[in-house]
Amino acid sequence: MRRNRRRKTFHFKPANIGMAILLVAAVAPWLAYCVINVSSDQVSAQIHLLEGDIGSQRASLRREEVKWNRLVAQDNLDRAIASHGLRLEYAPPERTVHVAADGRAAMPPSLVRALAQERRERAGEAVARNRR
Amino acid sequence: MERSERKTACGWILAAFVGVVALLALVLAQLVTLHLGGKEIRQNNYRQERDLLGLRGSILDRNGAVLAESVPGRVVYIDRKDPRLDAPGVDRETLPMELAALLNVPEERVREAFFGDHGRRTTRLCEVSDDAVLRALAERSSPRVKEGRLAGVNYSEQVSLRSHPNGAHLAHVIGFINNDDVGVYGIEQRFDKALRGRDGHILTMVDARRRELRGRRLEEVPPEHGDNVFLTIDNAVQAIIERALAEALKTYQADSGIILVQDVHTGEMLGMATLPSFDPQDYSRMDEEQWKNIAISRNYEPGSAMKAITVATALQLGVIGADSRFDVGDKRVWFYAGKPLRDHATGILTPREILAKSSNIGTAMIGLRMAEPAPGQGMPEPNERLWRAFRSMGFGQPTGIELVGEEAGILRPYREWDKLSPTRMPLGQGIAVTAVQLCNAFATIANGGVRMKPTILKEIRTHEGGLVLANAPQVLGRPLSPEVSAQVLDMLRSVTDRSAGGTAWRANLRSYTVAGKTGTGQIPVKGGYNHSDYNATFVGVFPATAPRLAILVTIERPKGAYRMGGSVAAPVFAAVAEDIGRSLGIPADKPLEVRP
Repeated sequence: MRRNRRRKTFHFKPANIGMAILLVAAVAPWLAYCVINVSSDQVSAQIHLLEGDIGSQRASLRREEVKWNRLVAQDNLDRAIASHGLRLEYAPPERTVHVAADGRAAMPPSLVRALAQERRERAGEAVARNRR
Repeated sequence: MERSERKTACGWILAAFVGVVALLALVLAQLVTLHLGGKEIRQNNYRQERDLLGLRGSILDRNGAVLAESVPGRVVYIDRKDPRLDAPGVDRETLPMELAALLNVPEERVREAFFGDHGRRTTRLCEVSDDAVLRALAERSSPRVKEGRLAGVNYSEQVSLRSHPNGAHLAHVIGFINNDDVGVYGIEQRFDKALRGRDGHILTMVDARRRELRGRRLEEVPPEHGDNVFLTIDNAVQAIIERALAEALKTYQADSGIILVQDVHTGEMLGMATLPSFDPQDYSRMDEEQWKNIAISRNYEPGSAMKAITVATALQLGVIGADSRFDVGDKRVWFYAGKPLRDHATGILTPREILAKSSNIGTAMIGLRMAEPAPGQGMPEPNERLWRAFRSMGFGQPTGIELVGEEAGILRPYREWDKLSPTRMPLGQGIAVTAVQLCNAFATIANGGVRMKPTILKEIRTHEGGLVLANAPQVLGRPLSPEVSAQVLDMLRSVTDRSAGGTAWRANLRSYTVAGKTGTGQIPVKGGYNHSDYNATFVGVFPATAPRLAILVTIERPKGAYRMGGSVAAPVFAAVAEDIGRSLGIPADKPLEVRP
């Protein structure tokens, strides 16, 4: 017996379309949120690592500065200079030239006086020579 | 399938279902506990708090050279009952040696911590700020190390450690910080509030693996580093005087010594050396008395250096003139109130000669004149004028220098003086001063009679360099007129003049003229004076023609052939003053010797 088989066809009903749109509208932002959240957490983890890195670099820099300050302490410098058989002394005032802010060098007063004295003596000798 | 079999299968399925539901219920319960349980549980699960280290500020000299600074590091402890000590690969015999080599500490200290009779389980061994050392320590403590494994050593969380690049230099001025991070003595105590840093913290959310979710920080308080304190000390000057003082103590086998360098115009201390010193990193090994800065906390009799003050104030009050004459006789001894006063000068002396020859009798005579009642000057009581004169020069009161533990000296009220007092105090007996007071009095003479407040603080700046406080020079008074100051300064030049019989000719300099006064103070003991021990002092001002600096040298209890101020302290002055003048670029005021 041949049965009257009616071919079943799926028909989109307006109600189904509405449901689908609702579903997509609800899920899509959630999915987007998840994606953004994951990527944001990844970036934040990276920032966190970099921050840690900066922190340790800063601490390391500070330690190096402290080490350097110890190395250039007066006693250490003196010891280092002495190890080369040298001894540093401060230059006497007559051998010190002070350069002013305008770049001009002022001769030490004691040297000025000594040179003037020397000039006067030479001039005296010259006068004496001429007289002779 | 038979009915009974079907029943059994259904039972199994039901049991499995119940099992799964029970499991889910457990998970749910756990979730509920985690999310809705006690506040603490919830917070601990997804919150984490981290401290951020705020470093203590630095102490720097006037040119920005570091004197003390903080660095992040860890404190290393020895735990002698550490179970890891029994682990294979750990050799207890060689362990102290290896730890000492790695941590750069004396082996005896490590041995003491491990095997000493102190009864403590843990001992603070040292501070380490070097990451490489800590890394090596961690690596060598690992169980993977088969031989020479380190054990019995632990270290703290990251803390702020204090570093002193110059070691024990200037330790009395800087002070130190104790284990609670509190400043003790010196600048560390005086400016503790400014120097102290404030730790910050981060309160953040974490994931299941306790990793920080950077984007979800709940609270972030950045650390605040302490302010930097700049001192008036010049590191180069300090190095010169520290070295010279150490040599002097060795040469004269003295107990202790002080050298101060003060700018006469501003009152700024450019150098302050006191010995014996202590290591501020290891302060606990020294006696507490040794932590004190003797330049401000020790009162001592200044001896003849006080004569300069007596003559200066007598001239100012019109009690004597520059041409006044005093007959000190030729017996070298003078009796007053039944007590003898000995002297080495004879004849008729002017104030200039009294200073140059350091005449005791001449100064006592001036003292007696000053002690007379002066109703015309508003001082009707006996001794009042002399007392006020000393007070006006800063004696008997703290100078106000920014250091902890300053003494006022001892200047008894004039109503308590006995008959001898006005003849002894002008010589520097029966009166006690601090080194800073005495130096400042000479600086006053050199500064045209204007008394400045001695200061050691230049400025305070924030960690970033912003100015918090600038310390301006402060005038405390004008006890002397410029004319009297110039007169006294000229008289004091003869003290260093050998041809004038000056007692301090050894203080002469090659490039600069010097004005100053020696002092050999006796050390009081119960019932009188110790006649074998002295304090040798010289206070000098240079260049005498246009004074810039006052330098005080005091050597306490020198032993050997030389004990007087002129033979012990004056040469030390000469050794430091020329170098200090050159270091600071002070123009020479002596004519240059032109060699043929």
